[in-house]
Amino acid sequence: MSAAFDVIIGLEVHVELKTASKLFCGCSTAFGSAPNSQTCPVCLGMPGVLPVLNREAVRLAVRSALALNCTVRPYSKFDRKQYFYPDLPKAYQISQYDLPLAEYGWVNIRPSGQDVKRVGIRRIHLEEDAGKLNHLGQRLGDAVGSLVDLNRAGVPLIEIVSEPDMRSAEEARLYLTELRAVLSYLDVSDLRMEEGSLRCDANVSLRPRGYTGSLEELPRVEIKNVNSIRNVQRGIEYEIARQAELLSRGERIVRETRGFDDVSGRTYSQRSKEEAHDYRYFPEPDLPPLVLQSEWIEKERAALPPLPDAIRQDLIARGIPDKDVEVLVLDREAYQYWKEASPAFSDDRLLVNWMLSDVSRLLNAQGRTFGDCPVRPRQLVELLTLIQEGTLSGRMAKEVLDAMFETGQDAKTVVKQKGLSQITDESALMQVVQRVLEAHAHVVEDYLSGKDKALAYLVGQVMKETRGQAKPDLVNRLLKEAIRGGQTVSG
Amino acid sequence: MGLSDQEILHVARLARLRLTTAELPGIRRDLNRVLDYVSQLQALDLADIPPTMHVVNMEMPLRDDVVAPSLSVEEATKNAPQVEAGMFKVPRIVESEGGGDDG
Repeated sequence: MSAAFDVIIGLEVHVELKTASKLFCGCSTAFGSAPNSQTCPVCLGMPGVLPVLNREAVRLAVRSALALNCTVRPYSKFDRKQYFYPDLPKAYQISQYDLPLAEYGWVNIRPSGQDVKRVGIRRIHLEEDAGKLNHLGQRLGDAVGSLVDLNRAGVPLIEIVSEPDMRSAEEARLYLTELRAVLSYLDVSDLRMEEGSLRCDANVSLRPRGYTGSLEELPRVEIKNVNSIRNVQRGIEYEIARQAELLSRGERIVRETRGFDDVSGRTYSQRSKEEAHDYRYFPEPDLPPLVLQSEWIEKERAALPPLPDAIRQDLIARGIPDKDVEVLVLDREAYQYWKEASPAFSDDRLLVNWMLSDVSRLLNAQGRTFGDCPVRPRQLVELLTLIQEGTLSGRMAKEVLDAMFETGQDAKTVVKQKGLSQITDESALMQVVQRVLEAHAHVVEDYLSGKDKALAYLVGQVMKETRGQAKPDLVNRLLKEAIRGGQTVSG
Repeated sequence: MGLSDQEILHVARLARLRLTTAELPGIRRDLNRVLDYVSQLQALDLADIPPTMHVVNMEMPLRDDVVAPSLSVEEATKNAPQVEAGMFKVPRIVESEGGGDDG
C-alpha cells in the first residue's frame, strides 16, 4: 500500500562561526565561561551603542558559502528581525533578510541504493546568536521562570536554509551529515551539536497526492532545537507518523512550532504567547551595506581545501572500498590521519582496513578520535610494513598494536621487547620441521595413507615449537616438501 | 485608505504597547496623517532611480577579530530587576500543549 502523500522536508541549520570575538563587539566567544562574564554594552543591547562587523566572521561565512556551491552576493545588507524574547536583549536580532550574503547552493547526498541526489540550498546569511535560557523546570512548558545567560548573545552564526528537497527522515540525516562534513574540512566552526555550535530546525509537511497548491501553503510543522543528528531523524520520523495519523482521521494539521523530547521520542507543541511570526524586518540603520570585491571572493574560493566530493573520487580511484571511503570522508580527523600515513605505505586498502577496524576499535574503547590517536600515522605504517615484509603475522601485529596504544612505543621496539617476530628464515624453520616429523612419525604415516587432517596437526606442532612465530602457509609448504623429500629418500 | 483599528491594535501588540479604547481614535488620526504625508512619495516617477539600501553613502567598516575586555558579571547584571546565579531572572515564557493561561 503506498502512502497517500509525499513527505516534504526542509532544514534550517545554524552554525556558530569559530571567531575569537563576537559578530559586532569584542567580547570573547569562548564556550563554558561563567554566565554573563562575556558581555558588554553592545551585546547587552544598551542604548546608544553601535555594532561594528567582524571581518573574520565575514570571511568564514563566505568560505562556507563557496564550499556549499552558493553564489556570494557582491552586495548584501543587514536587517533587524524584531521580536520579544528574553534571550534577545535588544528585542531585535541583526540578521539579513532580502539581500543575504549568499544564495543558490547545494550538497550531494547518497541515499543507499539510489543515485546521488542534489539537495538545494536556498540561502546562507550572517546573523548574531541569541543568549541562552536556563529554564527553572523540567522543560520549557513546565518552567516557573528562566535564567538568562548572554555570553552567547552576539556570537556570529550562519543560517543555512535548504530547499524543501528532502523526502524522508533518512535523507534529512544524510544532508546534515554531509553538510557537517563539508564544514568540518573548512574549519569554520566547532560543529558541536551538544554545545549548540551546530543547531538544526526541521520543517516537515505532508503533501497529499494530487495537491496542486504551493508548498508554502501546506501546513508546516517546525521541530526546533534538536541536539543531535540522530534526534533530528527521530523527530522527523515521529512527526511524519503523527501528521499521517491526523490526515488519515480526516483532521487538520496545525501550522506550529514543536519541541522534541528525546526520552519519549515524541514532538510536543510549543505554542508561543507571541502572535504568528510578524518580525517587521527593516534595514539595520546602524550598518551600511556589505560590499565584497569579486577579486577577494575569488581569492577565498582558490583557498578552499579539498572537499568531500573530491576526496571521495580520489579515495575510490585508489581502490579503497566504497563503505570505507564513506567512513573516512565523514570523519575529517580519520581522513587527515590516512593522508599523513598514505604516502609512506604502498597498500592503501590494508592501511584503511587497519585504521577502520583495529585502530578504530582501540580509539572507541578509550573515547578517543584519530586526532589524538596515541599511535601516530608514521608508527602505524611501520607496523604494517612489518606485516608486509613477513616479520609479523596479522595476529601478532594486533598484539603489537595493543602494546603501542598503551605505551606509545614504536612497533619495532615492542617486537624486540616481546621477542615476537615471525620466523621467515626457511633453513631455521626447516630444522624445526624435521624435528617435528621425527617425533611424530606415526602421524606422517597417517598423512601418507591419505588422512589430510594429519597435516594440520603437524602444522600445529611446528607453530607450538616456534611459539606462533612461524608463518602458517610457509610451515605448510615446508612440511609437504619435507615429507615428499623423505619419501623419495626412503623409497 | 487609512489603517483599521484592528491593524493598529496588531502593531501596538507587536510593539508591546497597551492602548485603551479611548486612545485609539487619536492614535488612528495621527498615524494616518503620517502615512498620508509619506504617501506623497508614491506620486514620484522612480523608474530610473536605483533603490536606496541605506541613507548613508558608505561601505561597511570592518573590525579585526580581536577580543576586548568584557564587563564584570556584576556590572552586566546591575540593572536587572532580578538576578540569580549571575543570570537575569525572567518570568515563565511559553505555555505548553493544553496548558497556559491566555492561549
